[in-house]
Amino acid sequence: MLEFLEELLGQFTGSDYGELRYHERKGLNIAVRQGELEAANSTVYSGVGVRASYQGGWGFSSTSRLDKESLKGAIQDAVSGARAASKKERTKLGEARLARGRFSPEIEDSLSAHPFEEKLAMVRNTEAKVRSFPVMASCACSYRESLDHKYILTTDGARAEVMDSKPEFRLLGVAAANGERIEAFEGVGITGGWSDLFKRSPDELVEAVVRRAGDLLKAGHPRGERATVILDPGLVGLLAHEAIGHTVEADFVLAGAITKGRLGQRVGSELVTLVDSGPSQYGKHAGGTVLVDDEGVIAEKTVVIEQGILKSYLHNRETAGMFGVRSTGNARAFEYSDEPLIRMRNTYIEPGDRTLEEMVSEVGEGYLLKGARGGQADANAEFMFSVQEAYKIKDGKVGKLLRGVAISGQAFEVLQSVDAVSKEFRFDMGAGYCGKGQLAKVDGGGPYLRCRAIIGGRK
Amino acid sequence: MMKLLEYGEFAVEKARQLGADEAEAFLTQGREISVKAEANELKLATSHARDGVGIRVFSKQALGFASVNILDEQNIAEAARVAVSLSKASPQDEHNLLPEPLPIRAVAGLYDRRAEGFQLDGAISRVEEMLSTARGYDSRVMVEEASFNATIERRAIVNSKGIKAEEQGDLFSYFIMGMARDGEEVSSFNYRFDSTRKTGELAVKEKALEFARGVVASLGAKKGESFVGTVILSPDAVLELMIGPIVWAVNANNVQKGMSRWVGMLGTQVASPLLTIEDNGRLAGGACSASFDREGLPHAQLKVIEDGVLRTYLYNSYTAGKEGRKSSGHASGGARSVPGIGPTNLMIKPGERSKEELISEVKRGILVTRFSVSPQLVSGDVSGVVKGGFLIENGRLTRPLIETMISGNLFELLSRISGLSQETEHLAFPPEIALVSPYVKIEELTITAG
Repeated sequence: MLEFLEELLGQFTGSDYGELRYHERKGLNIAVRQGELEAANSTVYSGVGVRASYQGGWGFSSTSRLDKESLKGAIQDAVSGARAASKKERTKLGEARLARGRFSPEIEDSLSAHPFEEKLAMVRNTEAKVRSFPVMASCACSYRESLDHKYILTTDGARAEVMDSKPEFRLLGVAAANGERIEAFEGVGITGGWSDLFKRSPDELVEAVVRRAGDLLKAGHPRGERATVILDPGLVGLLAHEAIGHTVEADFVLAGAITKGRLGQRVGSELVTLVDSGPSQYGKHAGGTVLVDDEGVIAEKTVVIEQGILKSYLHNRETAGMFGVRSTGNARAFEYSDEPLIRMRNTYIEPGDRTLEEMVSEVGEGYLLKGARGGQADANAEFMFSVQEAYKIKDGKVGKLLRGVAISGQAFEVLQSVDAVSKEFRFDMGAGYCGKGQLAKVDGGGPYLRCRAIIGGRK
Repeated sequence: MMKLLEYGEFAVEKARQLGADEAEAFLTQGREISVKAEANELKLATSHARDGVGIRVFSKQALGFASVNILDEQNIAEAARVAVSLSKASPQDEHNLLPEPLPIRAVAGLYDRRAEGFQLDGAISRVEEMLSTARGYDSRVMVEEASFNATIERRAIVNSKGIKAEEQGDLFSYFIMGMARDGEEVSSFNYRFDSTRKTGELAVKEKALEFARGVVASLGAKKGESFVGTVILSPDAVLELMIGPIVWAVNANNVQKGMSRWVGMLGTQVASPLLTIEDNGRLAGGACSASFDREGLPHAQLKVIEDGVLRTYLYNSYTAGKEGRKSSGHASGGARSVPGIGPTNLMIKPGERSKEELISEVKRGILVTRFSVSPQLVSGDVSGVVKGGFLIENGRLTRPLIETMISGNLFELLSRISGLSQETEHLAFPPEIALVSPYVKIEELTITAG
């Protein structure tokens, strides 16, 4: 395949740059709800994404047909698209460490070595276990895997074969009483093999969902206010990704995001160091791990904020050219038919030197917030996250559980307000996807973080 | 090359030969061109050819499904083999039955022949028009992204019970998002989008202008105050806040599996008598219309909520079979997964007063033009941030707001709807959603300022 595609690189005449990316994705999705098998889906989605650039304009086309004529046609479409969108200025791509060779994450226990029957049994048993608790009215459990095989070639020298393996496991439980229903969610998603997925066993996940749903059913609502909060690692990941990360994606920066022109400036407390890394850090299996990006660039560990100072944006080759820096390897495409965009990978805040107990003991009044459940952020770094559990802290002690609602704030004000960071660290966003016109598998995490934010409550 | 229906017949035949008792093939074949601008400039022109087949089989009433995006005999035969092998390892379920054919009547207005002649330059000029309209309105407007997309798609379905249908449709979708920037001040994001099947109904200029007005108006936003008051939701905010939990709650699968707040509530008052919501998959030219659903059954036109009373859930044939009734024609999805359940073109019945009149009646409240929220679908708990909003004092909009949150329970809020506007807006983002909605006024919401 590599030789076949290499021959076709000669077809990009009339353009400044050309890129061919063969991507085969084999997927499996098993979903069980209330004892019923809702999905036993096997999918194969493969083809070549072709991208060209001419005088600042870009063209992209894709085809699932792998014969020479179809591919030549797709290259022509991409080149004529690039010419139609051109801006009469030479495309200036940034420097990059172009990948050559074969790249694969560390996988000890390959997903394909485990038959469908085993995966189905695991999902069915887990789902049934949740429902065996009387408080639980309903349960949904699913397993999903993506096995990727790519060849990425560019006219300026990238020649990479890239493998990937990303399994996910999700559990949603619903507790019901007195006409009210409340959900609790646990999910894990990693880069790696079967045994790597269950660092927390399915039984532990069952226990977490049942306990949380049952407790929340009895819990009241917090009052809306600006408060001192301690965010758990999943929420810190969401803060790092959603509220900060998007505003440092160089395409957003160019469009006028709030970080524009602020490199070298203080944007957070000196306790905050924020990283977006392609290679997994603090362990091998972070869910957003990318070794080579979809422009054939080695994905780097990028320090975005160092001790509170904004150090770097996240780049593809084009924005790296515009800013005169090296590409950070953040160009990612979800499937062959998607064009590479600037996306995050594993985004986290570095751990500190405190313990959670110390951090709680210093709070007069506030909240310990746990369990991220999605969020959104804005060009001005104002964010909103859904939180599953809010524990009231009073006089340095964790008190009663309240229903998690949403928290909000301006991310950089929140970062400025950080006054304690824990030693304990984990990635906890691997079951999620980031959406930016197309999906991307990302992860995020960090330590426990103490800061100020707005709690959306009742009355 | 074989035709789509022939590939479908081949897939069904193959799966049956391999031991499936019942088999279904859903096929799509599409062409798409799109143009995108980023950071105020034309950026990317794309073209795609997309094929797909999804094969669902039942062997001894056990489910298997496989899909592939290459339409040729070899790949389809392999997908059929995989689907059958999965079904042989799956548990039996007595409700796993494919539907019998029903008469299908074509829905009008799904295909505009002029779409065939639509070229890249047409898409480029639409994007340029969006950019110049938005930037021309005010130099502080920053367009992060503007895109225009033209698609022609054929879809076909064949099953072993005799369903066999094929249809062609076109769709133009456009989208603009960004913010306003005045010196150091950056406004909230805003966006506008819509879709139409008719080349003559492209409203790119209108959407660009609405977007530009929205972001400029939100400059100078200040923190609000905390109070319990009236909220008027724009159609966009209605989509963000209300539609997800309602669609989840009327999904028959969620009802049957105890994940809907509206279990056992057919015929009861679930909302203010002012609220009527209709779903019509047969709407002529509708962005989410089709002559047949994901299982090959005709769509319906039905009232889901009428004068606040829950009238029906939405069914596919699996969930309908469990209750011994007919599918309502709401099987949804594409070739890459088994059919789910989804709405088509939703319409919230407008009211009798103008938006201005609704605002004039509010003593203290907020108008929400954009809302950022992730509703809890089962419980209906919603808590989110007003991204575009204005304080209303004594019947007048007084200033734009930021860092303001609204919280409540959607299912409880529905009974506190106190008014709907005459004006409606059309928001279509197929295949997920097409909505026509008025402005909706709701009483007694908790509003928290930062």
